[in-house]
Amino acid sequence: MTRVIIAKLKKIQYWIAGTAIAMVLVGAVYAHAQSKNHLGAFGDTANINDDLYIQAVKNLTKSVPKNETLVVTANSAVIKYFSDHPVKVPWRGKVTSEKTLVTWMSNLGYKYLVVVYTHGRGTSIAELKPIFSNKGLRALSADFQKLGETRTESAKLLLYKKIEQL
Amino acid sequence: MALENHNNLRKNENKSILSFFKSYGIDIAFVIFCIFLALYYNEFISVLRVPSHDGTVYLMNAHDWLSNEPLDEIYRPPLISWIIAGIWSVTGENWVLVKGLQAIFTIGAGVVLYILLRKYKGNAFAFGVAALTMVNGPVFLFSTQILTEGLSLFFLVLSMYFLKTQKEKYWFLAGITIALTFASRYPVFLQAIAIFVVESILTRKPKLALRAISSGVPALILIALIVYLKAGTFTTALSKDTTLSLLLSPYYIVNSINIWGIPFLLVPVALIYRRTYEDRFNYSFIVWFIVSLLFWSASSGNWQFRFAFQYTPAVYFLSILAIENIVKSSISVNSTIVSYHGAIRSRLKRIKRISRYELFGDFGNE
Repeated sequence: MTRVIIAKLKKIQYWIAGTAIAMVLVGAVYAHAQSKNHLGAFGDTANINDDLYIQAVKNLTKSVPKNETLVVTANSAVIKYFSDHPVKVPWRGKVTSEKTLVTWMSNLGYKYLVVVYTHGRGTSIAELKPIFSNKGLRALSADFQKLGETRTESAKLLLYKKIEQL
Repeated sequence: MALENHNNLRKNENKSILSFFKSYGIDIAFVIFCIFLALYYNEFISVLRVPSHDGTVYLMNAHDWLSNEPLDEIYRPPLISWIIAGIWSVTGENWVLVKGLQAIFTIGAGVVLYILLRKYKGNAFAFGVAALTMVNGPVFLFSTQILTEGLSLFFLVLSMYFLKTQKEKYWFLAGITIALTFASRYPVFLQAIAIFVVESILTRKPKLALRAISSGVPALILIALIVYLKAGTFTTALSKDTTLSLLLSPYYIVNSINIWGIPFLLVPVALIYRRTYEDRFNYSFIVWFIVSLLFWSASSGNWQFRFAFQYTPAVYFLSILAIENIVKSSISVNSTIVSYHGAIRSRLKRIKRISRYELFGDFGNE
C-alpha cells in the first residue's frame, strides 16, 4: 500500500511539470493568435494592408500648391510623408465645432482640409468626432468647397478648400 | 574479417551521428525555428502597404538626418532613423526597403538570448525562453512595423550577454551596447541600468563596472550631443508621458494574460521557490522583470501593450524557471521519499511491536 502511495507521489510532480509545459505551449500559441484582437493597429480596423492608400494620398493632394499646410483629421504622419506637404491636426481644445475649425484655420492661414474616414470612422480624436462624423461632414459644405474624393480598400479620403469670406 | 570491420565502422558512424543529434538536436531545432519565424515575418511584412504613424515619423526623421533638414519629432530616439538613413544613403530613399528592419533585430535578440541561456541553463531551457519570446503576439506584431521595440530589445539582450561574461573587454562592449539601448529607445535604458547594477554587485569586481562606465558614458554623451547639435535641444519624451505616480497602475497585471498568455501565471510560481534565489544567474532576470513592471505601472496615464515588449524575455525566463523548479523539486521529493522509505518502514514495524506488547503484555511476545 505504502509503495503505491509513494509511486503516486513520485509521479504527481511530473504531472504538474507536464501540465505546466502544456499550459505554456498552448497558452503561447493561443495568445499569439489572439493578439491581433487586442492591438487596434493590427485588427480589422487597421489600414496597414491597404494597397491603394498611399497612392490615394498622393493623387488627392497633387492639386494642392507646394508648401500649403494640410489640416488632417487622421493619419497625419502618413499623409505628411507621402504628400510632401506640412500637416496640422486640429488638436485638443482649439477646435470643437465647424465654426471654431474655420476660425482656427483662418487665424493660422490654413486653406486645405483632408478628412480621412478609415473603416467609416472620421477620427480617433474624441474632441473632433462630432465635426467629422457623417453628419458633421455634410455640415462642412457650408464653409468648405469639396475639391476631391478618393476611395481606397479601407478608407475614404476627402479634400476640402476653405471658402474665403469676403 | 573485412565484413566485421565494415560493420563496426558503420556502428561507430551511427553512434557518432546519434551522439551529434543528442548534443545538438535542440540547437538544430532552434535554427529550424528561426528559419520558419523569418519566413513568417516575411509573409506578414510583404503584405504591409502603409507604415504605422510612429513608423512614418522615424522615416521622416531619417529623411531629415539624410537631407540635413530639422527633425520632425525631436523627442524620438535617433538610432532607428540613423540606421534607415544609413541604408538610404546607399540605396536611395524608399520606405519599402526598411520594412523588415526591426524583424531582423528581434530575431537577432532571440538568437543572442538563446546563446546566453544555452551556456548557463542548457539547450532546452534556452529554446523555451527564446521561442516563447519570439512567438509572443505583441513582440511579433510590433516587430513587423518600423518601430524601436525590437531594436532596443536586441541591444538590451546583447548588453546582458556581455555583462554575464566575466571579461573586461566584454564589459567594455556592454557599456557601448547599454548606450545603444538608450539611443534605440530612451526608457529601456533604465532596464539596461538595472541589469548592469545587479551584475556589478554580483561580480564584486569594480574594475569590470568601471570598464563598462568608461565606454558607456562617452557613448551616451556622444549620442545626446549629436541629437542636441541637430535639434538644438535634447528631449526624451513628450511632457505628458514623463509624469510618474506612486499609485501604481494595475494595467499590466490586469492585461498580463492578453500580453504574455497563460505562461504568465507561472511567474509567481517561480518567485515562491527558494531554488530560484539559490542560483545567482537568475537575479538579473528577476530584477529586470520587477523594475520594468514597476516603472511602466508608475506611468500616470500612458499604458500600452508594447511597453511590455522589452521585459517579455524576463517573463518567459521566470515561467520556464517555474517548470524547471517543479521538475527539480520532484527529483528532490523523490530522493527524499526513497531515503526516508526504509526509515519509515522500520519505524512502522517498531510501532506495531510496541502496540502488540502494550495490548497483550508479555503474552503478546512470541
